[in-house]
Amino acid sequence: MILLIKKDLLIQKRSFLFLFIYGLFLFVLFNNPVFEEMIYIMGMIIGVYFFLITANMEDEKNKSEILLNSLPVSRSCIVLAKYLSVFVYICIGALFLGMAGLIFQLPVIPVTPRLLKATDLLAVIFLISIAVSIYFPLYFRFGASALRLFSVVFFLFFFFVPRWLFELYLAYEETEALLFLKDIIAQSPLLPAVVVLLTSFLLLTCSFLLSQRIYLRKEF
Amino acid sequence: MEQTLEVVNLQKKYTDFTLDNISFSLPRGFIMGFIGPNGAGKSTTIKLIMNLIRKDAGKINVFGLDNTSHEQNIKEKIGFVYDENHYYEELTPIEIRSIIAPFYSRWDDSAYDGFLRSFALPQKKKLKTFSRGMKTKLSLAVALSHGAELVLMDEPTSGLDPVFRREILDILRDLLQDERKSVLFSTHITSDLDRIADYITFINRGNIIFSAERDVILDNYGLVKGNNELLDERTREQFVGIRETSLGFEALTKNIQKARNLLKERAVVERATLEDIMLYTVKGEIK
Repeated sequence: MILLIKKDLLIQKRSFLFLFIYGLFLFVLFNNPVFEEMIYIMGMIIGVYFFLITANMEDEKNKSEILLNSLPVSRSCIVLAKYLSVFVYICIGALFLGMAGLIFQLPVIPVTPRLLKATDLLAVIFLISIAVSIYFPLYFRFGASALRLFSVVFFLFFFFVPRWLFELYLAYEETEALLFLKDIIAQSPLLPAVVVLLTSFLLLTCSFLLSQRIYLRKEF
Repeated sequence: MEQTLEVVNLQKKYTDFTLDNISFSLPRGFIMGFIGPNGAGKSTTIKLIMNLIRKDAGKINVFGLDNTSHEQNIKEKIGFVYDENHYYEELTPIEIRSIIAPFYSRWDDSAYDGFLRSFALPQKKKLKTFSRGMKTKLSLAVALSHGAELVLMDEPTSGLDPVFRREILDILRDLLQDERKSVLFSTHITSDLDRIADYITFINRGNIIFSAERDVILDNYGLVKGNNELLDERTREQFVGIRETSLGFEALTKNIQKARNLLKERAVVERATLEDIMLYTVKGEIK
């Protein structure tokens, strides 16, 4: 499993450089009050998208499914590795964007974004879990090339979702339902994390089982 | 004799092609040439052995084990060389090793390094800069570096120029002296097998035409050349395929001795090559 994840990282060494440079640009381009709160979430979503799509496209470009399925590794393991690799990409995204964010704290740089927070990670895990739970079964069924346009639009949607959700939150901040929700969170601060992680886990499990079923029947 | 590979009544149906209850076996320590024209079912058979596609019926045993229920154990001991490169073009042979080696418990770094050196493959150049022949050599290096006891080769020489083809075949002949290794070598270029195959399995339109020792096949099949007057119902029955021209005929027989006895000095009867056997069997009557 770890070997397959390592393979997905090795075949896209340039993505690391891209992510770092992209991180720096992101803080400059989106240095405004509208996007500031969401900057890490949006950055990590695009980072994960880039790593994920590059790995899948490389597999497809080299017809490496035949290679992978000729190695002594089970098909379930190949599918599971793809799901777990997403968490590795989230960690890489957090690390690189976190580092970029730290660089911007230097007094010589006029732009000063906020630092990475745990809630950013939580939001990314939740949104990416929804996104890949839909994307992976389609990927294992149709392949990366067939989904190229779909995946761009699909992940762009998730790129802008945090901003829309935030605007929605601001618009309805004083409503009874949201005040009630805020009250509950104030009483048990860990509750959102538990709910988000549990929901993500459930979604990913269902999606994995579906992808596994598709991949076990696939012919190369 | 211990069998490395046993294929029994294997069937796979597609809308336009059926692999029709094929059976053959490869004894341990031997090289089998798997011949047939393009589209005969060679790649389908190899994909079924590798479990890349699902069989509809039949049995495939590798090292005495079912190829689906013991898939991982079996693949640990199979080396594969396909007709095209499936390794990542952006990586170097060294990086390929770092990806592939950990999958095999018996991976041998020094053997891999040795193959790269003897095949004159640059260790630190990306695969995208390699020629087709170099990529085939790399696949061969990987296939032979993890103690594989069965090497499956699906058209490894197709698309290679004669110099590279000869080189690959020489490498194979030298390397496969190990008596534990068995090789299934699929090709439509029958001359590739002249010097290396112990057994020949011939497949055409999804059916096995024969599967036997190469020497037995070449001792039995014959090419008959003579005047068209010799062709009557009785002589035609002896032939698998006939090519007739205004100057005479050329035909393939399965029983060279019988043809010699029948035609005596009236025709020239000589040993057939694998290419003759494949051509006349596939084409039948050529006018």
